[in-house]
Formats: sequence, structure tokens, C-alpha cells
Amino acid sequence: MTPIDELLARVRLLDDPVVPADVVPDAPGEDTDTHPLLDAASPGPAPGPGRGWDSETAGDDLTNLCEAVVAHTAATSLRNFDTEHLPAPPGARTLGCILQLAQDEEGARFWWQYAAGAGDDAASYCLYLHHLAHGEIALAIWWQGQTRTGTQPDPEDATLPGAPEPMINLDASTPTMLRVLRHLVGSAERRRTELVSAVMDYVPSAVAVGYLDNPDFEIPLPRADFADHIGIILAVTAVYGDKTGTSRCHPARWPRLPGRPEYPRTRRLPRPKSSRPRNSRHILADFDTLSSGLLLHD
Amino acid sequence: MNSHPMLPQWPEGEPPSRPGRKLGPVAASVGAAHRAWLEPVRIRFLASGLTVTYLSERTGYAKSKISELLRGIGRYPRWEIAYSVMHVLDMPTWPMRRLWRAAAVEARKKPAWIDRCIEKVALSIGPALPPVDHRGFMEGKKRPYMAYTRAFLPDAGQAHRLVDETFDVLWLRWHEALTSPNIERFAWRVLRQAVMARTPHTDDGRPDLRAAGFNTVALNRTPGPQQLAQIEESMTLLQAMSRLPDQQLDVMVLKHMRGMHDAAIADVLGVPLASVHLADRYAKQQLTNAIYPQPDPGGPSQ
Repeated sequence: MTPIDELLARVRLLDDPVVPADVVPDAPGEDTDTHPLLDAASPGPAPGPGRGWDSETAGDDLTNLCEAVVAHTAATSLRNFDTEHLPAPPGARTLGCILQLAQDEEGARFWWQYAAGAGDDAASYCLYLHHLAHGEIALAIWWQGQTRTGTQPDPEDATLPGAPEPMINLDASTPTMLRVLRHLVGSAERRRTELVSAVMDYVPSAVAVGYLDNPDFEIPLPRADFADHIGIILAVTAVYGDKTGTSRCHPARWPRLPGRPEYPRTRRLPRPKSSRPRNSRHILADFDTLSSGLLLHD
Repeated sequence: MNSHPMLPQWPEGEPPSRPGRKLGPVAASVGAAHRAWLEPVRIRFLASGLTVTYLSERTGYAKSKISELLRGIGRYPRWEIAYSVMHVLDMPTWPMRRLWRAAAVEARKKPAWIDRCIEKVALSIGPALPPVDHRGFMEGKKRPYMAYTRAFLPDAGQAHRLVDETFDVLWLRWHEALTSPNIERFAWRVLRQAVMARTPHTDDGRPDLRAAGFNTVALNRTPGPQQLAQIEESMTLLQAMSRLPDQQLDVMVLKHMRGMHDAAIADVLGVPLASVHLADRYAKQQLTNAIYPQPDPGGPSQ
């Protein structure tokens, strides 16, 4: 059997599939007037998730992929901001992954759409998995089509995790690369680096706050000093080394720094419309502690 | 009783009216179900040599209204006027009414409006069953037509309505089908046109088969963690398949997605058995080139 014969053998269809709800067209209503040769009373099975198709798998894969993206690209992708609010597309993709991991699905979707609109393939692929996980097959297929499957990465840009250069330039990646990545990182033993932890702690609340600062807009805009704070986090982890194993940067371990003007405490904000991470108060308090121990570079 | 719709005869002594302006094209906004009955009506009208003026005089409707109906312009026509035109053209009324109703639903007419239109015209003439040879022909085509349609439109209800419509259109055009060189090909083209009018298309204008990747036997047997890989394999193949020329695509759908034998495929498509074999071979070659591209040997670029 040739390779193509094997593929063709696996594309044989079920006789009577259960059709996903979002693929079913609007039913035209009761119609008893049918051609005499067709069975009038057999409209077929009710729509539902495709038979045998497990949407949880997509959810797991998406989680693995997001972890991989954040772990390997946060340091570079979050550096570049087009404006003080808006990250460049790779950063937007990373933001989306962070929010997905923090269970802010609406925020994740927004940033991935933003990045995908700018041509970021990895973001389109994240949206494909995201919609699959929700059983939204038609949308998933659409995003799969937006991901350029023909693009091959340049060999010098593509490095595997664990290699000397841990950064992967996902701008040149393809769905194949992403599949490989998510399987390699799909380990229950995965431990987050300090950088990832710090970013994961900061970002969800910084973006959630954005809903309130702009009450007319239901979009997850980071607050005005977002870029600066990300820069701080990146600088700290760069200076003190990005070690795996601890779950949180501990200010007590840093050397004493010269005193500086007191950082204005963030006032306690009421709950935004989107769901907040569970430990948001803890995160805000930690961030204040974190930033008060740093030397601000203006 | 003559069950084949024949062309109307000129009443004796009455000279044929001079042909007026050429019939304009069907409006682009006309939906697929509307087109399904409108095109047979237009074909019949053009073949009859009758004029819009004649139709107007016989039906009692203004020439402008007749003209709008024949082009699908303006509001969706009431059953009364559609029926009147079809009656003058001597078209079978039962399938026409079914098609008119399906298109009215597509045009989002309210059920009450549809029912009122239909009640106004009592259908007492015309056979309720298609000609015997039509029935015989269609009986053999029901399963393969449904199988093909569901590869593109997996919902059974939608597929039923579409094949239903195809059978009715073929009834309307049965005389044309019988006098065509190849009745299977004629019928297949009617079905294919209906399927393609409703199938989502990709950006490059090809029918989108990827949703079928979720309905494979292979996926059904694949354990959870490997399912995504299976879906992606199928979608890659289906995307490449959709770019095949029409006949190769049809052969691949019927043979590999539906498991039909070559002889049955030849019969359904109305082509020689040898061309089914050829289409399969060429299609596999194309698919192999698309999915397993060979590295450039370094010769002159193509």
C-alpha cells in the first residue's frame, strides 16, 4: 500500500454520523410535501458532537501548547509593544496563551484573533484548538484554514526544547512544528520557570483591570503601564537568573536596593465582568510587594 | 394519458408573436432552491419559442411581472403567478409546487404566507407521480446520490431535501433528460450543481470537504489522545482532494469516502469504467504530489 492509499483508507466515512450542532443548517420547518420516492419521515439523527470525537483532547493539547509558547517565547515576544497598550503580534499570541492558562477564555480569544489577523500562524492554530475544545467544529475548521499549512520553518530558526538555545521562533512555525512541540511538552512533570510564574501572576490581573479602565469596551486591554511592568519582570529574571523549581519570585532573596518613592497602592477594584483568577487579591498584593522592591528605570 | 410534459402547440390560425427582447439572465441574488425551479422554467420557455407578451396575455399578469419572474428579480413570486406561467408552459405542477415551496422557505417567507398562496390554487390537474421510467431511474440513484451529498453536507435532513429537489427538477426536465445523449450524466450534473450551490467553499473557490474529517470510521476507532492527529491527517487529505478537477474529485468521494465499487461509480456518473480507473490513478498522483512533495533535485526551476 502506498502512503496515499493508507491515507485514503482512513478517510472512509461513517454511514450515519452524528453532526456537530454548529454544522447543521437552519431547518426549514415541517415539510410533509416530499418527492414520492424519498422517505418523508426520516430527517436523520439529532445534531450533537461528532460521534466518537472527544473535545477534551483538544483542550488538553491547547493547554500543553500554551504552556510551551509561554515557556519558550515569553521573554522575547513580550518585549515589543506597538503602543503602550498593544503588543506586537507574537506578544499578543503569548498574551492569549497566558490568559487561556488563567482560564480567561474570552481574553485569550481576543488576543489570538488580534494576532491571527496580523498573520500569526501559531495564534490561528491556538484558535483552531480552542474552538475544537468547545465543540465548535465549523469555527475550528475555519481557523485551521487560516493557518498556513504550506509554510516550512527555516532550519536555523527551529530549535527543540532542551537544546542550547531554548528560544523557538514560532513566527516561522507550522502546525506540524506546533504538534511536535505540544507533544514534547505534554508532561505532567512540567515545572514552570520563575519568569513564567511571574508573568502568569501579573498578566491576568493587569488585563482584567483593563475592562474597568475602559467601561465602553468589553475588550481585555492591558493597563497603560503594562509594557513597563513586563519589562521589569523580564529584567529581574534576566538579572537573577530564570530558575526552574520555585513557584514564585521571593523578594526576600533579592539584595537590598536603594530606597525610592513609594509606589502608589492600587485601589481595590470591584469585580470585572469576566471571570477572575481565583487568587487575584493575592496576585495584586504580591505584585505590589514585587514592584516595591525593584529599581524603576524610567 | 401522456405523462411526459410536451411543448405547447400553437392554436390554429393564430400567428406566433414576434420574439421581443432577449430574456435577461437570472439575478445573482437568487438562492439555490429558487434557481432549482427557475432554471427549468426558463429552459422550457426558451425552448417553446413563446414570448413574454404571449405569456402575459394567457396568464393575465403584466408583462413586467412575467419578466421579473423569469429573471428572479424583486420579491419572491406568489404561487399563483408561478403556477400560471408553468401551466401555460405545460409543466408538471406537483414537483413545481414542492420546489416553489422549498424556495419560499429559503427566501424566508412566513409559513402563513406560503400556506395562503398554496390554498388559493387548487391542484386538480397533472399526475401526482412521476413517469414510470423516471421512477425506475431514480430508485437506483437514491442511495448513491444521498451518499455523495452527505460527504459535503453531513446533515441528513439537508441532504434529503437536496436529493428531493434533484428528483423534482429531473421530473420537470425529464423530456430534456431522455433526449440528452447520456441520461446518467444529465442527472448527475443536476445533483452536483445542487450540492455545490450549498456546500461551503474555501477561499480558492473549491468545495470545502474538511468537516467530513470528523465523521470518519478511522476517527471513530481512534482513542482520545490520538484523535487530533487523525483529524488533522484527514483534513490535510480532504483539502488536497478538494483541489482536484471535478470528475477526479467525484470519483475519490464515491470510491474512497463512500466505498463504492468502480462499476457502480461509472453507472452513477454516466462515464465509462475505464475513465473511473484513470481518474482514480491521476487523482492519487496529484494527491501524492500535494501531500508528499519531492525535494527539488536542483535542476532548472519549474
